Amino acid sequence: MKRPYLGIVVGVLTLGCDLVHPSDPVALDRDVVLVETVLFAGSDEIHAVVGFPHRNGGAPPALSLSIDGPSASTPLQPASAPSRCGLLSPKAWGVYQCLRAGLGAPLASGERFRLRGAGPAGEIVGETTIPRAPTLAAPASDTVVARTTANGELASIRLTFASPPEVDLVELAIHDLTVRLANGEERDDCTLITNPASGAPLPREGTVELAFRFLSCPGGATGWREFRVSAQVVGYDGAYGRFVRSAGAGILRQPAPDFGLRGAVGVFGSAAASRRVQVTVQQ
Amino acid sequence: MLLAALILAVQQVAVSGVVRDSLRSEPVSFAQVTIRDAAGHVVRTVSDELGVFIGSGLRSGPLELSVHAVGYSPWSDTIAPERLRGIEVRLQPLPLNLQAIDVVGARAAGPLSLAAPGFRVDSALIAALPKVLETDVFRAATIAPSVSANSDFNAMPFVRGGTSDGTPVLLDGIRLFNPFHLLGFLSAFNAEAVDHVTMLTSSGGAALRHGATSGALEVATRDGARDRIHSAGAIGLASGRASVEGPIDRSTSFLLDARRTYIDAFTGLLDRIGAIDRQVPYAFSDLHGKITRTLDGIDRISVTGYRSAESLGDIDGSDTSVLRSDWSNAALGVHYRAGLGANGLLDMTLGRSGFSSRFRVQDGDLTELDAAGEMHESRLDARASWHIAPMAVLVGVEADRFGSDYALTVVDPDLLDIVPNLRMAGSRTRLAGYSQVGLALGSDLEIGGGLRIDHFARLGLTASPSLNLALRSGGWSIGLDAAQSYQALFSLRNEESVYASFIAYDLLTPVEAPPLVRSREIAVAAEGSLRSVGLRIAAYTRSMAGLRLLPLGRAPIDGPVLVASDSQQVGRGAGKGLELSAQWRRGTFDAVASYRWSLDSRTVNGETYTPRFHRDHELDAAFSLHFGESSLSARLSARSGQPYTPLLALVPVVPPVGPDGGDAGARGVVALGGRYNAGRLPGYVRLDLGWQAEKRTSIFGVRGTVVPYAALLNALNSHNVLAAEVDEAAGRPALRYLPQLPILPFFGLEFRF
Repeated sequence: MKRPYLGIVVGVLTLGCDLVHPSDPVALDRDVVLVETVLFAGSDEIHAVVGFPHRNGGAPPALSLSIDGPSASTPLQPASAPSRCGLLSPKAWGVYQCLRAGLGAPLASGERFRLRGAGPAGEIVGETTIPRAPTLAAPASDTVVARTTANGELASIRLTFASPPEVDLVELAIHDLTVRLANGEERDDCTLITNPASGAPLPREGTVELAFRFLSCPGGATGWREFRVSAQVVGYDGAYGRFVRSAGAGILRQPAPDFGLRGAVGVFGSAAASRRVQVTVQQ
Repeated sequence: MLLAALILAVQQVAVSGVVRDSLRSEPVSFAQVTIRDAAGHVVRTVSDELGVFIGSGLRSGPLELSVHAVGYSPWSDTIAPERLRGIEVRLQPLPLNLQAIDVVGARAAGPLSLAAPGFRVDSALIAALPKVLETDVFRAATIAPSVSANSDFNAMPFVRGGTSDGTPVLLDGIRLFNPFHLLGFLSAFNAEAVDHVTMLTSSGGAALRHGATSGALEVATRDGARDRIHSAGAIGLASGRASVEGPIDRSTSFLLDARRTYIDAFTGLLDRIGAIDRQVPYAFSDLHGKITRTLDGIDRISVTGYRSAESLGDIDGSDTSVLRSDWSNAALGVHYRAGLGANGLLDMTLGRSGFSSRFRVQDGDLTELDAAGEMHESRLDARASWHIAPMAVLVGVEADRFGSDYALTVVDPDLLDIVPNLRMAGSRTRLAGYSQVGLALGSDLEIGGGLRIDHFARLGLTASPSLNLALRSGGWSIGLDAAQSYQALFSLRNEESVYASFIAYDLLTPVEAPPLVRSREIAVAAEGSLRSVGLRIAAYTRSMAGLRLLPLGRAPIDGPVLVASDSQQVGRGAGKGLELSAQWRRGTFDAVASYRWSLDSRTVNGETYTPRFHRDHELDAAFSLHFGESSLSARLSARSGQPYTPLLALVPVVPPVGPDGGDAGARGVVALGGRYNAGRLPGYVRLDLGWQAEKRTSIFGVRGTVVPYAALLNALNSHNVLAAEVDEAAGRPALRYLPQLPILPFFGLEFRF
């Protein structure tokens, strides 16, 4: 007579402790495949990062990805320079590989591209249309000369810009820093801090004050005569814009935002940059 | 046939009286009363929350009256025909034991109390459970199988998948708002002043007069002793309390109870001696008083007053950021009871309560967050009941007015993650009439029905019917309760936010436009005993409409805990489940256990999901063993994990490579989840242990008891979890669990003189 009661008690305790469903919703799936690529108007090549983000070792996924453009289909091949992937600490992101595809001609705004491939979990498909670039109204010239100020800033310029409707995210891009030191030496390994920083999100249109705040060069060389740097405004499509805004937003539930990609996690987006302004800052 | 019934009714006599504690003369509620007339006809009833009982349908002549109640020696006597009204039964108390969670489905009671399915937790159980920081009323109530608590940090009860705003907390019939301290960790009731807590699980029966959609939590204050002045107190880790009670004159008693934390004083002392960097300027206090005057027999009038306050001073005074907050809660109520003839009772309650709060975060001259507001309610409730065997009739009216006014200004965008900007003000007047009729058909079948008509100002009339059936057979009883109810208040809380697990405070606001919030519930319960184990098994299903819910959004758990009403949408909810409660006693060992399996859901904006507070399985058990002057107690909670959105992937945002190259280093992590709350967090197990010893002593010739106690919360140090969050600070992004409470010791000293 006692056994049925014992069974009931054990059953209730088992269910109560959830022993029959020892689920762990934060256990990550090691077979998840990562694909991230953004196509840039004006570029004649495509870079992509693919990987198993939740694995500690082993081979990266063999995806056989290709890009179908308006005129041709181009396979993505392992790149010879993995650092071009953009990952500073690749090991923090699992097992990954950089892919590259050379195109015969620069990508153009309005062109539509498809990403295709076969992954472990099935077909990988992405689609994007390259947006038009933001227009830079000021400075009117492609070259600007600015002088240092007395209030702690090295110098500042004003950027006035507007974005077409298909642009979802606007960012500032700063690159190609060249410094002429006091001894006449030219260096391209120095670091410049700006406000807003390179990669910072900007409003879709308006005017921002771009301040150059701090400059340092390896070896402690701080005496400089002038430096040159390029600035431009980059407009990204909705897929990449949603992707960036989702970072740090908590655990997204399904249905997830559209990142332009199916069959893998990541993003397939596109971007176009405004004309470049070369800023020369002099002491 | 009608004539025969009338003749029979005229020949009947009724007996009424009040059951009291023989030492302190306080009423003993829910005592089992059995009356046998000279013809051998037996009437069974139960004393109500004021100790009053009425038995009717008896033949004239001498009556045998016997009374027994948990914790008291049985009492019996022969009642002469000339003293049928105002009988005073004095029960001799037994040593306290834990057998105290009684099912108040009232199979032994009259037809009307049959309509009051719920659970009563009396002061003996509240006192016997391990004391987690303090003896706590709400935490004790969660041992009932119908009740779930959100987390270790928030004891606000959820009843049968209902909403927190649908379960009003009433102190002697007056609604209190936010009766919490420490963000909800403690209830703002001093257990010393509480006689019992009744957890009504349905909106019908005894909850009909409250007009709420998810039952009610009724806290009943003790009347105070009438034999002599008694004093009691306690010194715990966080607070001290003191109470005094006694007679004012032969028919009047008083009870005054106060509690105050000394977290501020204690940390201030540690600050002065350099043990800590800064005082924690936090304090809470309660003041609870009641005066009761017996007018004649069962006629009485009582006045209850209550005030609690909580404040957090300048917590970061040496820095630029300053946070200050003050909350307070006050209530004043008058209850009057009078007999209506031989077999009737009149109850009238008039009360007003209010809650006000001020919360401010300042950075230099900039006010980053400024919140101020209040809620208040005035209520008049009058009801009359008659017991004319085989029928019981209750008729009542209610008028209440609720008002609220909040302004919340948030400047700091980080704080907007927790609370929104909002400005709300509104009021709602409600007039109601209700009636219940109960009919005993023979000795084994009882049937009852009720109807409540509400008029909500500017929103119109609603009708809320209820039905109760009970059948007894072979020592078991089976009952069915069905009820519908409406309310015109809703909460601005977002229960899906993770902050809701830490913060119990709520803001209520009136419904401005239809639909009203509606609940429908059917419950079936069987109650009896198997050998020496008392059992109650219940099944229920509940549907709710007109709920105000926040649409899920992309990551609901990161949403704010309070939301503006215009961001909420009308949704619906459902709950169904099976409940089992059992109690067993052998010698000085007592065990109370409850288990529930349930399915709860919410639907808003076309999406149906499982709410975060839900748990598929909940097992709660309490044990106590008395030996000599000491007692050991344990409370075990085992629950399946809360719903959680399963994580599919952590995706780095890799900087894109353009024609000019790209930046290096990821720009954060996108956490991709599955279907909302489709997964479950790991299961929850918590074992609390308690010890206390009652030492008799005498100070200045006054005899009393001193009770040192100690408790160990989460004695197994189980790693119970509340949620999970993405940890990007680690070398590699990962999810980490937010823990619930670890093992914690508590100790203190209680004394009574």
